[in-house]
Amino acid sequence: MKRQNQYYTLVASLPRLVRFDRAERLPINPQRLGERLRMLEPEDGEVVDRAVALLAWQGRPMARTGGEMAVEYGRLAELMDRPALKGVFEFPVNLRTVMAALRRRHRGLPVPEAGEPWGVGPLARHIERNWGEVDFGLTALYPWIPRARALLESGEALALERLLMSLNWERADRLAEGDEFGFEAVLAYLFKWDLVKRWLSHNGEAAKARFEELVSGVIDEKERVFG
Amino acid sequence: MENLVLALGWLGVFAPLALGAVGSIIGCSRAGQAAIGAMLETESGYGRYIGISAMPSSQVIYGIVVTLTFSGAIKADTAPGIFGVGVLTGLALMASAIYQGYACASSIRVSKSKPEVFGISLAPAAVVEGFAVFAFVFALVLLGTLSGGGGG
Repeated sequence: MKRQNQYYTLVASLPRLVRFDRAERLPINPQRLGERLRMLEPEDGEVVDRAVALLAWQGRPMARTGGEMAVEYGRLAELMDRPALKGVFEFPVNLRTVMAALRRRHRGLPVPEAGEPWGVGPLARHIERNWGEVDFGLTALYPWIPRARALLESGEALALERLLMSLNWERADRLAEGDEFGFEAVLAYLFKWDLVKRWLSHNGEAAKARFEELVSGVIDEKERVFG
Repeated sequence: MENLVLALGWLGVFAPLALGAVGSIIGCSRAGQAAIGAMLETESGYGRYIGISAMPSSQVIYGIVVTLTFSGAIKADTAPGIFGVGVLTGLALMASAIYQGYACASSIRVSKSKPEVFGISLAPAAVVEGFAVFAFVFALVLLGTLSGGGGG
């Protein structure tokens, strides 16, 4: 009862998160969010620390090889022993594995050999066994796979990223539906806040690239005009 | 035996007040905590949040009225009826106050981020209040029936 009571204050104190693809800025900075999360009971604070570690792991997919990812996932899977964390992170982990398999097949690579580290989570073995099937026989479970595959094959990277983040966003929304002021709602908020942060950072990189492109264009034009 | 019946009757007399108070305590506490959380994130409108968080207190007022009305009618022949009506009215008031607290907390959370929905977001809380009013009014109507039929 005590823990539950505290989350009324905490959840009501969190600013509204605008959907990631419409957000112009983070509604609360990491320091203030951390301060708010101190309202959690120590036990739940520890779970949130684990969630932050899992989010950090999720946010750096390009920096590691598949093998490193699998090893790191094995270590971090221990962090997902809490049902609340499993509820939040199981779907994104499975989504990542499905996408890893789709990308691998798109590149024309063969079915992963037994023990080869390529994907993480419980779906990896299933996908290996059903490599020959369209969408690995997972369409009934994940109806978004054909759409993701089509975007991957047509090279629409931004649309694909938007789709994957939308799926994660909607999943987090559904998790918080059951108990608007419960701990799951706090975790779902944290997860969605991280999605907004990641999306905004993508935009920042794109803006930087565009800026550099414009600067180069101006310099080239200047050299052309003034010799 | 008569004393036991009267004791049950007094339980029915006090139940609307006591159970209504329990519900109001929980409901106001829930909504109040949400109001305090909303204050952390907003620069104004605090009075509005506190006003919403006090909404679940009305159930204890209905309980007080029912208790005062029932107490004047208690006799050996009306006591069993008063017990039944009183306890069930109290349970209805308690549930209404607790769940109104949830609705008020949601209203505070939403109207903090989107002030223009403040009025409409209170509609679910008002609907929950309506059920408490039903229980309150029908308790008084039934008391009239009990007094008229049994107590003469």
